[in-house]
Amino acid sequence: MTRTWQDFTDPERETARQLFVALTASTSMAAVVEPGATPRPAPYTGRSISQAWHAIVSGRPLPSDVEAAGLALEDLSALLDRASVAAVPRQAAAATDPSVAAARTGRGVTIRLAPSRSDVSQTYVTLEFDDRGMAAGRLIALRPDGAMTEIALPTPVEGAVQLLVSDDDPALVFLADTDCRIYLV
Amino acid sequence: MTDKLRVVIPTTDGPSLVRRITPEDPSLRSVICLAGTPTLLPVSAAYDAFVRRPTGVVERDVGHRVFRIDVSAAIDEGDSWQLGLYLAHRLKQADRLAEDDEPAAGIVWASGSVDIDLQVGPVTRLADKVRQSADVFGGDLPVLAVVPAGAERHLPPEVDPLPVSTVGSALEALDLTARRVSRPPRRRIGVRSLVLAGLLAGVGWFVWPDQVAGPSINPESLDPATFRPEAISFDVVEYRSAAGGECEAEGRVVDPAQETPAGICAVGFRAVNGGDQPARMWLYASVQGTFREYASRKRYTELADGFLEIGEAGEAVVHPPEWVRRPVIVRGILVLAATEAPQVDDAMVAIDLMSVGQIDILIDGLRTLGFEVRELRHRIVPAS
Amino acid sequence: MDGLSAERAVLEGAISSELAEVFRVLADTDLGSGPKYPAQLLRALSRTVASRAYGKPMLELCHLMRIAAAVGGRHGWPGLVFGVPVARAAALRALVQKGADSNAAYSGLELIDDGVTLTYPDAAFHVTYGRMAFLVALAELLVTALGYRAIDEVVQELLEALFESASASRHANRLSRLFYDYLKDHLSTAQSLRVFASLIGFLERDRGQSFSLDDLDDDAVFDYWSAVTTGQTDGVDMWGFRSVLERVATLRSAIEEATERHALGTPRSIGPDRSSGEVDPDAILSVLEAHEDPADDLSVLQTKPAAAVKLLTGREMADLTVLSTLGRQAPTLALSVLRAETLGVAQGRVSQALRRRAEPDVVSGLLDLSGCETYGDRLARWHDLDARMKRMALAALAVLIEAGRVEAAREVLAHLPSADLTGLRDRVPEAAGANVVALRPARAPDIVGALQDRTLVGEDVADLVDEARRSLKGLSRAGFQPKDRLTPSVGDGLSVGLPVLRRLRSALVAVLRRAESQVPAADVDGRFLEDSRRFAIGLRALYGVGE
Repeated sequence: MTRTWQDFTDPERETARQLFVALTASTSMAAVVEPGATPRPAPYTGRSISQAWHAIVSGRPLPSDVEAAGLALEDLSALLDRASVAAVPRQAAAATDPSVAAARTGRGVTIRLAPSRSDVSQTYVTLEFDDRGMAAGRLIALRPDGAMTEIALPTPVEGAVQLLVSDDDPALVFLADTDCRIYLV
Repeated sequence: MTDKLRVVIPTTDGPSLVRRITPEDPSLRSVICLAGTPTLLPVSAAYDAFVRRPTGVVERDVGHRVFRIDVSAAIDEGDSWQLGLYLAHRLKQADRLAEDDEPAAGIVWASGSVDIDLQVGPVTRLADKVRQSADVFGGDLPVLAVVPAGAERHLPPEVDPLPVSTVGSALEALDLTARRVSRPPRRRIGVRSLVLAGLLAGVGWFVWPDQVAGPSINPESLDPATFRPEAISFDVVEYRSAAGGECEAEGRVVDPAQETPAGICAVGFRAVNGGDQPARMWLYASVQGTFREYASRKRYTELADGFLEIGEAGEAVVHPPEWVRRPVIVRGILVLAATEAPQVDDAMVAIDLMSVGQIDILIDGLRTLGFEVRELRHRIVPAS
Repeated sequence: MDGLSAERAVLEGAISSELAEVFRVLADTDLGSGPKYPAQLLRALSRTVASRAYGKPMLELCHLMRIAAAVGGRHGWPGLVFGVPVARAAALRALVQKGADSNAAYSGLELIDDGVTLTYPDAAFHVTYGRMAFLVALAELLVTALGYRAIDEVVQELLEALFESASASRHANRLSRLFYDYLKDHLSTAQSLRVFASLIGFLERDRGQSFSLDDLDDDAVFDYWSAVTTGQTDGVDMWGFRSVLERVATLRSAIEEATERHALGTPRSIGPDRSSGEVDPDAILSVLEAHEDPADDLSVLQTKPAAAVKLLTGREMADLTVLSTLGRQAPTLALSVLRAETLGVAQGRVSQALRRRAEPDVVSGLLDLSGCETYGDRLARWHDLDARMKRMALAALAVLIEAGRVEAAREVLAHLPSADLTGLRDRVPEAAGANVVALRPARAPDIVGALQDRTLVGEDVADLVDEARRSLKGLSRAGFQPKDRLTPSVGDGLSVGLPVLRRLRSALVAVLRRAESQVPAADVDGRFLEDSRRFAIGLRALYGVGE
């Protein structure tokens, strides 16, 4: 004999109600994940943390800024920190001291900037690793406004990497900015 | 008639001219750059090892450990560049390297490896290098081709062959055997320091010291017992913006306690030796303030160091950021000694990397060690 | 699922646009090896979230985080969770083994067969690689929704806590609380409850207080839609015929499940706190799984490995979407499926035309249902589709035979359940007892060769194999061309895809038969005209366009 809705006790009705709600929500979420379910705007950047991580650790091109990465600044920063072999935090408090930008020490590395005596429009960037066996493929700099830049690093020699960059290289502006966080990945 | 020489490093892709050698901050590593650009050649690491003690020979023989060499074309691999670059360093030391567009009396075309005992080792593919250097050999300037002994057979008849087994033979042929040290080793960091021999006589003229052979120092004249640091004056010099946005060539000494009208494009700190014996001087100038505009192609710090002859003046000039409309403090530090003082050298090497507080500690430390240290601070407003 | 489904899902108010975006991000994550999270995995995840049955998974996740941190080396837990290119057991196994090999400090963890066992002082816990795939998806969902730092903070505290099972429970509770708070804003029950109340209210008014499950039929769907469109009932912003159909099917499942629990005498056990009306999330989850699994079939065909073979075209899949979405309710509501595929599609055209501000005469024509596919047309189309699906299944059997895949025997049994294949027993490698069909995903040329031996397998099987061969001829779809057939990916694709194709065909046939029984051939045109007239009234009332 078929039970009628009238026969349902309150807990049974509540069960039916909650099942209905859950089934509806599940269907809604399933609609989103269906392959090709919804047209994505092109180009679609998403905010996949896996993809951000993959780009960081595999040397793939990074998004130009936090917005393009689709992550919160502090989340991206924490992710970069996790992926990095060495990192230098922002040193905003000392921004008025010129020497701070010229030498910044962080976790596992000291970064120095020194102008070339041969051409003052060029600057040496030296990374000295605390652990001489350490190596990093690239330097990623993250500004408080979310802008990012990266520099490919050569193989270290005796625990140090030295680059020479032109002063009109945007990367140098990042490096000289004490508000910038720097990660070696 | 110049006695300067160009140095050419032959490669299998063509000749590479040594355009310039610049001593760099000793805290760095030596590099070879391509034609004035920031492009580092792959052999830079090997070059650094070739320069730096204990593996290298250049530091040992010329007294400085870090250089930047700019060459006209890439040198990708091998070690046959060693002989040419070593000779270039020795010519530079003797002020006989023709750099950039300087006129030259001839060309040293050198290929060979060099070991720690300055023995010259063989090179490969010399015939290819010779073939690629046809334009050099057929040019107007005479060419001295320095090659490992036995390799001269690859050279064309129009060149002057110099087969060598040791670097010494090449130095001898180039009249470089006596190290032409005109004064104790000295360093300058982009310094606008000047030899101002006529200053006291009221005739001021600026000469870039790297371009003149300085007078010799008689070591006996360096006597701590008779050294009088108070005979050396220390002043602030302001340079104002001139027409066309240029900075005027001649500045004027001002009272550091007095703030002057805006429009200062450069500030110099000048030491003049009014005593009766030479003095060892380290003169450091810096602009204090934000460093954000580091990439603005302006120098905010300068170090001038070396010996101040009797009557000679040295000056370190800095250019505060010209767009700043608020007062900026410019600081000058002068350290004086009767003779060479390695501990001051060491400290000054790193001064650019020190914080303001660290510099204060350094000054106290040097005073404790008995050095004469003077300091000037001057407030200016750069932008007019 | 049609292109508007995601927007519809959000519009229907069940999930926030942000939560929809979180799921979309996961669905779109591709690290260069194809989608990281297979659609089925995300469906499972969505069920877990919808039922809020994440308590146990959070505990498992905490154990996984210990494993991930141990094998992740310098990168820690993100090395495994974010680093695994695809959330599949094989990829996770490879990464875990590689990490275990290169990380000496590995105490308390043991790699055992299908997963990793954590031996805590107070308990042991085993996480299989298959389960890890789900947990990795859950971790990425949490991080995407709540932010990396929020999750990492809890994980780091877990890792710094004593190595004991109890600490995993504590931190799992913290993760659950964080997610619970998030879902408060992003997983709304209000709208769904209004729809539920609207449907129940309608049924109570229309069918009486004593309505039962049997009243949730095709008539209820049409009557409710008509009542909504003509303003007699508040449809809670739900005007589409297909939406109504899906909601009625959902209500059927919900009431059916509640009824079944009563029949089992366990109505009270479903809720841990019956007095407050709470329902055990795990119980809800099990209902969701039973209800929605069939709907996963189409997405299985569109993802690897099945996607290597084109068993169905895009249009064929579209024709199966509605009945696939309804799952087990589809045959019961077969007439409604037929209506949704004809009249419901016409309604979609009207709303699109209005959206793009089409000329009034165009809209008017659509409202009159001119050009609407008839029931007869649709039933014929279903018959055609059934025939094509049969041909594809046979052709696929031929490919399996050609490739020497042992799955061919399984397919033969699927086509001819009574076939006697005992003659093949001796040919099964390492034959296991009487089970002839040792379903190893490997080549078994001997068995496959024997399938064509009439003396061994009998006439029926041999005829089937011949028919399969004929079906394959001239077929140019991906996976069926001569150059494709012997590739392992095609064999693997068929191994997964063929059972799915079979299930979908069964569902189609069930709906087809039921629909034809409700609308006999002689009545089909008359019924369509009758329904059309009624439907057009609803459309004109709904879209405010007068006669």
